[in-house]
Amino acid sequence: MNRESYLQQLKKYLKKLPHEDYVDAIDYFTEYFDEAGIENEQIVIKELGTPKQAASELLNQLVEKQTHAPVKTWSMKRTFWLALLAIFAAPIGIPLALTAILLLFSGILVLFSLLVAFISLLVADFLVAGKLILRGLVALPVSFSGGVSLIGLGALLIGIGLLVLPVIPTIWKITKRWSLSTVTRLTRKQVIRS
Amino acid sequence: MYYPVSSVLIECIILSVVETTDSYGYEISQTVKLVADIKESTLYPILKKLEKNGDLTTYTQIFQGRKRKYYSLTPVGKEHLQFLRHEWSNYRDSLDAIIEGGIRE
Repeated sequence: MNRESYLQQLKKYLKKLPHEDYVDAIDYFTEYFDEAGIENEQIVIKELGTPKQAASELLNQLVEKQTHAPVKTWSMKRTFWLALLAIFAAPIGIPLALTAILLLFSGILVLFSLLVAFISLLVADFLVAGKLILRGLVALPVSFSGGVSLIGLGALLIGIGLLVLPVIPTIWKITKRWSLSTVTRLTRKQVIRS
Repeated sequence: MYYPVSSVLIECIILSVVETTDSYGYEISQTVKLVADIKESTLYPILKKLEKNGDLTTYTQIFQGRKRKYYSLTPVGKEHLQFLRHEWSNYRDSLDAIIEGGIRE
């Protein structure tokens, strides 16, 4: 393993830290590698241990150090008021939170149904186009102009379908990003609450 | 080093290192490692804690085209260091008295 991949992995594991602490820690270790020099890269890596191990030690101790800090004197009072507030706000807060979550989920559902609707529309479009072309071919011996215009219509529909086709991946991407960010936001809040 | 060094003692060492001249992470770390078998993942949180408690302040300087973060002792840190030093000399004297002088209660 080299320095780059080491730092990359460390970054991955330290993502849980608050942003400011995360940046500080990464800066510190980047600087540490810089100071040690390229020739000592492997020694430093060996000394630090695996990225996972180093990161978990860092996380443990950073969190521990912070909770030992002067918070204690006023945190009891603060927790009390927060608890009181939570109790009194519950009749409004819980339905409100529920509504917010449901709204977010319905947003995701709307995007999904849009996606499904678009796909079915396109499938229908191609089916109709195929049918029109076939009918046109059959009609050719009977009426040349009629057959050709049917085939033309079919080709036109295929063209429109192909033009609209790229919209599907776009909708899919939006849906995915939306649902992912919603879910992560919700779970993150729950972690803080617990 | 055979004897483990506690994190309080490491705080004392770090504060002593930056007492007269400001220093940066690597230098501090190398100095601490002269006496303590300590990992960077343990040392860094202690540094960070000292910074958060207001014993140390930091500033960045450019060194050979890259950033170097310097740590310097604050008045609060100076006071803390005095306290730690006092405690250390008491501890060392008592320890010496027992180990070398055979003192008993």
